[in-house]
Amino acid sequence: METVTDKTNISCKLGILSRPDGSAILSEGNTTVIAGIYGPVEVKLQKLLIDKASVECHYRPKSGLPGVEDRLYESIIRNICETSFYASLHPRTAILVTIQELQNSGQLISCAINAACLACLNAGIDMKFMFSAVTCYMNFEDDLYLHCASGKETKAMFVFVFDSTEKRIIASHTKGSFTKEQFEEAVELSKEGCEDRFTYYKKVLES
Amino acid sequence: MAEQYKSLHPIKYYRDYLAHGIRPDGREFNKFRPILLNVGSIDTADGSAIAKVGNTTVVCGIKAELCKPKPDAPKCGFLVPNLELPPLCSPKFRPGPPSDQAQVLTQLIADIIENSKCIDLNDLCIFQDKLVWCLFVDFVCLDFDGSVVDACIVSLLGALKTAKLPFVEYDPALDNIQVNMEERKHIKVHSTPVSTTFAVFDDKVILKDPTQEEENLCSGILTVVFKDDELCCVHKPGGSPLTQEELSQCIEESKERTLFIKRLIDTAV
Amino acid sequence: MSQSEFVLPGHIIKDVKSLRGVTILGPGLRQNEDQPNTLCVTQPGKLCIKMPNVYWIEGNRNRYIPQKGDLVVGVVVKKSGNTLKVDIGSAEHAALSMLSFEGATKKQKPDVQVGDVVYAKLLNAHREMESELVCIDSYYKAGPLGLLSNDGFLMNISLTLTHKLLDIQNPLLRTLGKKFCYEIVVGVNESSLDEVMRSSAGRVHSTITKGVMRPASLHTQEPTSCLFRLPLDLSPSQISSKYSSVPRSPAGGR
Repeated sequence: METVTDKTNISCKLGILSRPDGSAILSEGNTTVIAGIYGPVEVKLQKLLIDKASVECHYRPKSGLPGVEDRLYESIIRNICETSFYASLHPRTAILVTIQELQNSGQLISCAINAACLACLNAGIDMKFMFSAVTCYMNFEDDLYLHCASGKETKAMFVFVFDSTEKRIIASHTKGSFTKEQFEEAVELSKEGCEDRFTYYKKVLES
Repeated sequence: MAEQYKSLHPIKYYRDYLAHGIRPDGREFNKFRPILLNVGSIDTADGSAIAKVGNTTVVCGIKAELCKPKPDAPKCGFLVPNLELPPLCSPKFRPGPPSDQAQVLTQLIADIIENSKCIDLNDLCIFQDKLVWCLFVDFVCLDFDGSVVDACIVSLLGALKTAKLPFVEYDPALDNIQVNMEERKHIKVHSTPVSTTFAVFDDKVILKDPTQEEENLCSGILTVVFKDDELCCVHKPGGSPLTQEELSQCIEESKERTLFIKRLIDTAV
Repeated sequence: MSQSEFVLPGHIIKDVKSLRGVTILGPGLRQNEDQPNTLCVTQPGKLCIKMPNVYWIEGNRNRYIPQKGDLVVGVVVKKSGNTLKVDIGSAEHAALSMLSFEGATKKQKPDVQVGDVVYAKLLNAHREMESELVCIDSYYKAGPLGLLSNDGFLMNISLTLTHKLLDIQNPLLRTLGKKFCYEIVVGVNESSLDEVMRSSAGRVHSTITKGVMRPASLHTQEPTSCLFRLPLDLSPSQISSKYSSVPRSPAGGR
């Protein structure tokens, strides 16, 4: 499959791994992650749910073992996936999402979430909607922007995850402090960014 | 009869209550549970507090140790939060290594402390490049009944504001440390972050300060942390989507609570 | 059959046609509960419509999801008492009773070992329960079903390829048959009724006997030879009467 690049500065390839049911490698700027999905597969007895599929997420950092911070990412990605899947269609099974970080130069979480979404789409898992994450930065002059020159200090950082149908906020994660108005502005700006990403998804999947 | 109905159809049970604009514990949607804060409860710790939000009980203890700073940040001390969720607090947890939830909440608390800048790590420096304070902030949950982060943050502030560090003299020439246990001073707390948890029930009803039962049945959780007039964390880890208006509404509501909690902490201290 | 646009999860299809109040939904579509007469897309792919009332999505799912009536190729992974556990590529192993082979009785059981390949039909595939396989039809005859010989090859292939192999008009197998005498079993992991691709991985088991210059027809009546017996001309109403309760893959045209 062709690598598709877009004005969102994303490039992506689907189905690059042969063993998982769906996979995607995605770079946003210089940040690159690879995501693989297995599912629905056999579930461990401990995690078996009788009314829906249990969604598990594993996040592997670039080097070393996953730490406490990675657990937070895992739980966010897991919750987002669980919200978007029609999990009740496959009770007593598991859907495994594995994410491997390859390179990190900012906006890692949003990159991982987007890769997870594309991998899910590639695996053909039944979803209620698609989701896309956008990272928004605020510098010390209180200006908001979507792309960050890496290494630059920022006052605040926002990650928003939107759904594809009504553009509602599925998840939000913030760093730094900001006012309510700035927060709302960031949501608006990110919403525009997410539209681009959904158009991009469509382009990738169609090709 | 109600008991049976509740255990057989917990969601329906809640729906019936919520349709009448009230929650099973008698609160309205936007009412908080009573908060209790007790400071300085543990003698052996350098600072401590117990916070109760409804039934949720969290004990926070601060232990200070001396250590060497990292070479890339020679003036920065350390603040290491850790939340423990023992089997005592809820049947959900098993003995053994920290559960995923404990790790996630620990990270969230660490993020809140960092974002709110309530402690300036430079204040913990005793002698540049040689000696700094390392604060171990340990939370132990005694009763896990929802909105644990709220209780943690209240107890954290209580503990931080009462914590006293001994006076330390450092002689760089001889590499000699002298600790004067008698003479203690407070840590400077720069801001008072206040966290409010919301739960989204059935994608539409937003419940403030949910209990554990509500958190389990709800489709999404939202934590908003205010630091004075500024927001320092809007954490929504997935769950049912909210519109921007709903989110703004939640932020507005949590702002109202900030003043109340701040007054509570100040009174306790 | 008309193939129209490329759709993504979350897309809403409006003005859904139905025949006598029945609309047949294939994979990748769900009834939208918020609005009447609309469908919700759950998988990315091409939206296919067969007039008057059959809708499905042609996408690529890689993991097989069992459907009642599917003819599948599976590997025996465990023997316990009278039941075999068979890996058919789905989330859970399927159960196959030793007694559901042709001519098997309590005293005389078939000689099946772990690792053997079987060609079987899904008798039951309910998502809440373990799926159940049989190697006989309702007349207690095996037909093409049963153990497959051990000197063949088992290959996992994509579902698109299974689709192509099973297409009666596809010249590949016939051309091959002119050169070699062979048997091939395409365990579609797809219902024999569904001509529409169920997006799932298929499996091929084939034995090629070299040197025999008998042009093996793919559609010979010999029971062990092949299984291209897709009823191609079931009308949608026939299907709906059979499977009205379960939303399932519709009969699409080729």
